[in-house]
Amino acid sequence: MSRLLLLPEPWQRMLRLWLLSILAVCLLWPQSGLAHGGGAPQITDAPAGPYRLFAWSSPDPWRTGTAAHITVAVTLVDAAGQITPVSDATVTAVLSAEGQATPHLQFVATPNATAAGFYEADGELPTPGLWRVEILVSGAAGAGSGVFTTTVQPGSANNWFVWAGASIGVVLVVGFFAWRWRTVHRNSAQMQRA
Amino acid sequence: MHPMVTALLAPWELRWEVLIPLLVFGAIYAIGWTRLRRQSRRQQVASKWRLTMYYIGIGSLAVALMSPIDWLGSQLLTMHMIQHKILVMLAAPLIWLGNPYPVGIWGLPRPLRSAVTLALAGDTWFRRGLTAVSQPAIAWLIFTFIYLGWHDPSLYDLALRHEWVHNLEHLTFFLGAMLFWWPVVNGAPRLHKSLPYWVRILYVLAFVPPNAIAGFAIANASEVIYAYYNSVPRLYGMTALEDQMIGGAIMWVWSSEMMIDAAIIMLGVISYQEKRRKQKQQAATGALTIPHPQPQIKAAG
Repeated sequence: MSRLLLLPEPWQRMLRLWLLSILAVCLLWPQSGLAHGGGAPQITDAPAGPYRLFAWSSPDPWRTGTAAHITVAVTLVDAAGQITPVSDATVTAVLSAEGQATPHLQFVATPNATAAGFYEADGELPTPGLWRVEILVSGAAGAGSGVFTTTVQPGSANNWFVWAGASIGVVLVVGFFAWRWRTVHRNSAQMQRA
Repeated sequence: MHPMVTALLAPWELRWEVLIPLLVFGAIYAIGWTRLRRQSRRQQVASKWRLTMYYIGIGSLAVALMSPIDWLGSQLLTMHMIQHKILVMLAAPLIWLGNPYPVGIWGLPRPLRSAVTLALAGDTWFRRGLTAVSQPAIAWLIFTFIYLGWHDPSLYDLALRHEWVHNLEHLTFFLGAMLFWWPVVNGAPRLHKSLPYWVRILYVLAFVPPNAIAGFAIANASEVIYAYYNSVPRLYGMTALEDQMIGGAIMWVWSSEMMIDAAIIMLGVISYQEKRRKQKQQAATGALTIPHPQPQIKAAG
């Protein structure tokens, strides 16, 4: 691949080393930054005006200082019981801390590109404690809302995943250079002896 | 168009933690394959069919982890089962068929190549550990334990609730499957004596009963075992119980069928080898016998 980029040999080596370091970090990095389905179910098939509402939160539990994610699904059920996803609604999550003078937060959800009727919202919560999350839905069929509460845990002072990833990276780089240094010294010692 | 088809045709989610390792492993293999082919185009280590197998394997990992199948797995047990089957029954054996170690090693920069070779060829803790876990009986047990263990309802639901548990589930499925298929494909590095084909056939067929029992139990359960699927909208025309029935059947039939297919292929190889052996034997005995002069028949007229 690096040959295709027509890079000089030292740059090719650097590129390969860089790619392999990324690979090692990726393999040892257990947490994904993206939500791709799943999460703790918070609202299940609840009536919200003309709609039926579903909501999931992730990660479980939410922590201060880390991204809080909400997935919302909006459906309509007709008289025959046929369920259809609602893909043209405006979905907003309004979050308020119970018993605290913290101002309300508003996360605007965007439609999920993969699945019709699903919306994703991201944000960060400033304080730990009990939070009330109100999901507001408005669309052609009308407006509705659903509510859930969740306890936000205090965030860890250290992001252990970042520290672990960084440590692995440092160990790999130091190990590589130590190994190179040892090989070069061993070879020069052998040449001197010869 | 059926909502399932629409969902399957939706754009892929390019997850960097999946995409980058796949690109890096793909690039390493490509470099190694090119280097080996430059030396000789006739050698068996880096042949075109092995290249094809490897990239289909890598491609199936991408399909399982980045296509809409991944997202649909959080909505339907059926899709989650299909995703797992792609990881363990397609990707792992196909990657082994690509002969990744001897080819990939030539794609690494020299210092890393030496380090990997030393780690695997020398008397290192890495080699000792790998030798221990790759013993066929141990590999079989590890994979079966991982495979069945993750289908426990509480663990399965945990994986659907927590992203990192879900990633861990997929990683252990794939690594366990790589371990399982290693002695079947007899891929390099060969840390153990190659198993005779009849033992390999028994090895894969021994997986059929535990898999069939688990799949049958899921398919025939009278209530929804994986409670998480009760919390999702039923947009794809089946109830949670119907979805579970199909998911269980996929687990039961697909995995069992894959094992039986592998056994049939190996029976074919045994039969081919036996035929070749007989042909060689006949050729050898033919060469040893003194040829008798054949009577010449002249055509009249």
